[in-house]
Amino acid sequence: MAASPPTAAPDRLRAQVLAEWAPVTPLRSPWRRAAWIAPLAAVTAGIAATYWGPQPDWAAPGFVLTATLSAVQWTAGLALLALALREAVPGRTTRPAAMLAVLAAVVVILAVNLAAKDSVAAAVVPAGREWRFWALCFRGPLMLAGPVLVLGSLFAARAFPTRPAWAGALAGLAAGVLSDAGWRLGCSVTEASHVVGAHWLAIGMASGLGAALVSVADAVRWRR
Amino acid sequence: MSTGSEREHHLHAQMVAYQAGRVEAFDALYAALAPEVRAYLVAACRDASRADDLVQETFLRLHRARATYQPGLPVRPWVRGIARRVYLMDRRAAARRGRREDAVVAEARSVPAGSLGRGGERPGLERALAGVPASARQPFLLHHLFGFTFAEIAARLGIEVGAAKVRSSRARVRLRALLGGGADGR
Repeated sequence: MAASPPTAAPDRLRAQVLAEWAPVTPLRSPWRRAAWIAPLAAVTAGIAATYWGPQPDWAAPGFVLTATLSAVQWTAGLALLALALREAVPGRTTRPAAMLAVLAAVVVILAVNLAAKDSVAAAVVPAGREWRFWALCFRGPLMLAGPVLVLGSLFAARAFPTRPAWAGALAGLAAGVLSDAGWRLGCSVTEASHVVGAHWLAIGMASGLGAALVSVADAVRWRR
Repeated sequence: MSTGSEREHHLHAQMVAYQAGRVEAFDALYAALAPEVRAYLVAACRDASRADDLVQETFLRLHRARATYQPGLPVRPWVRGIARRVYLMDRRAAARRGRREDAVVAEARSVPAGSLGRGGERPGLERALAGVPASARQPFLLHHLFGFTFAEIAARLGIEVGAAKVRSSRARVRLRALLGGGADGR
């Protein structure tokens, strides 16, 4: 005989619930929470842009276009962060097709920005300094993505993500994109191998770190 | 009979009251959602007793995550998301338990002939053990093979003492049937 459907909470569950009873403040919307992180993201992007001082291409006539595209990238990064925080809420997971579309959009934005900057003021890595430039432009944006990465991941972990790795990867990707929006202004090199191999790799690494961070935070909480 | 939107409106009102700290809202939500959550979990794990445990776990997790519900959004997808996560975490834990049980069976294989019965019976016993649901096999082995008390088993597996006894008993009945001993245990 099938068991009758449960209609009253068992005593043990009720006791556990009452032991942790307290009014709570509902989570704000993903956009609102992303907006809380926006000032920090703006500061780190600003530091990234000015870290090496004024660049030769800043005086070029097309710099307004480059700067505008950086602002577009920064806004896209903030939207990604909101998406990560939305993904972290139970029942609001992003469909795979939408996730792929978002990733494709990020790649398109980065590629358009690279092509635009190259058309405004093309610059290559000085001969013999490839590895040094690579190390600086991998480490720099990654480190500057750190504060947003940590805060965004913690916000995502706090929301009880049903797919923590995805939520963390999106938060990390957002942090990388936000940081690179500034760093790309401070690095005058437009050589595709450098930008993809260092800047984009840093963004990918930030995404991986976000996935790891939220997964670990979630695993720790799940053991409670 | 209430329509879907009326029901959702009621659930939403209860959820807001729950977040505000009204105890009766938890009871109302449990009464309204537990049957649906149980049906989902039974369909997912195909084990009614396991599903009952997971319903409790879902509502405990739901309680801890109640702040993540955003007023204005539908309640049921939020609850379903939590139930799905509880189910997936349980499945992962079961896989880990399965690996540990493999080690237990390997250890059982090393027990001298006669300890598990006559030497010729042991391969049959192992095959029969594999036919017992994983959730019941572990309490049975821990109790009958390794001599743990049910209280120890309950603490180790994170379940109630009664649940450990029931599962072990189910495993014994199933084993008897698989070994051809019939319901009387011969």
